[in-house]
Amino acid sequence: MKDKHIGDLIQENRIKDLSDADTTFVEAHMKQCPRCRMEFEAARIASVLLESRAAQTLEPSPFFEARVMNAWRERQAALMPLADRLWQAWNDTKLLVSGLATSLAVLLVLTFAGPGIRNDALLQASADDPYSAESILFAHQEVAGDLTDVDLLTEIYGDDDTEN
Amino acid sequence: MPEGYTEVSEIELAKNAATGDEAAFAEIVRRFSPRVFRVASRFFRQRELVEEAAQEAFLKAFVQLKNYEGRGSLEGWLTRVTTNTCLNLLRSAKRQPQYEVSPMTENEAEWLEDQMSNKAFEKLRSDEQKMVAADLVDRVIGTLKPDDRLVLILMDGEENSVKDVAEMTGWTESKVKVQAFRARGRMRKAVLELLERSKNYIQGTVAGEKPR
Repeated sequence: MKDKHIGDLIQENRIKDLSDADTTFVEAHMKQCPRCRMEFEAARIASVLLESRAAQTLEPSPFFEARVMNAWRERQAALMPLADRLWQAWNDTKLLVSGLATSLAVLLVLTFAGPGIRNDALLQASADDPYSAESILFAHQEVAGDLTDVDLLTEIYGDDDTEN
Repeated sequence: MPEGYTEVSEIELAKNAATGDEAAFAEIVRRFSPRVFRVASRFFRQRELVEEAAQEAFLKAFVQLKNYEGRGSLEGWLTRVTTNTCLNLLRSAKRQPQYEVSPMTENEAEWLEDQMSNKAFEKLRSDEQKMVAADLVDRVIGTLKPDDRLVLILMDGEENSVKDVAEMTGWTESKVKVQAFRARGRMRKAVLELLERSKNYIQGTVAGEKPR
């Protein structure tokens, strides 16, 4: 029995699972077989190394879930048929497009209708001022057609020569 | 955060996720990330590789969710999917095992020397020595085939039974036993080679030669 090498025995079982009888046999055999002693040492070291490797575990990072979900969405999108993908893209951009269209419409209204409103308001404000050019013109409306530029300026600013 | 799914049973969660329900799938990822990470850590050591493998496992699980019938736990099912995904990643990796242990560092040679003189048990308690052992075991198991690596870590590292390993991998119990037998032999051979190198390293250092 002692002449039998231990290679198979330590390959079939974990070293710590060897029965008492097996352990006794292995110890007795190793005393007379340097090769098996070396093999047993190697198996023991392998066992220690594997246990230390198994003890090493990593925890997921806080961003791992987001990373997986992003990859999942990308893969889902890639698996979709072309028509569905276009429809999905349209749905995603619909809000953006409608927003842009609304902004464009507002800009158009402001561009073309805005100045008219502003001019009317200015005219009204000027008409309320008795010294404005518009008030003077309105006051002389009946003769406005006959006023020359010089007459008009004289009406507004007075006759500089007379004042001097 | 899919609050509506936090209390939902595994089978219902799986059913909803299989239909493409994003919130249900997100809950599966949230609930089982630690487990999937732990499984992926058996195969890879760098965080980036573990994250990639775990992500791939979840994406594969989503595709296969329609096959989950709720006979076992969802966690067990995910463990198997992750194990197979990691095995396939390793098998298809461009860098195949070299079947030869690469040169060791001074710390590693010292660690092996201590092991031979039975001093390492005490020393292994220090974090530094744990790192040395971890580097060394990666160097050794890096020379083994993915299936060998898996069965050794599961059986000799984590001390799982043959039945448990069969469940985790989907292999038959006979295959687990045969695989473990062969893997132990190859691992022992790799360690013997390391010991030989360690002896040469120490002798070379003492003689003032450049170690191999």
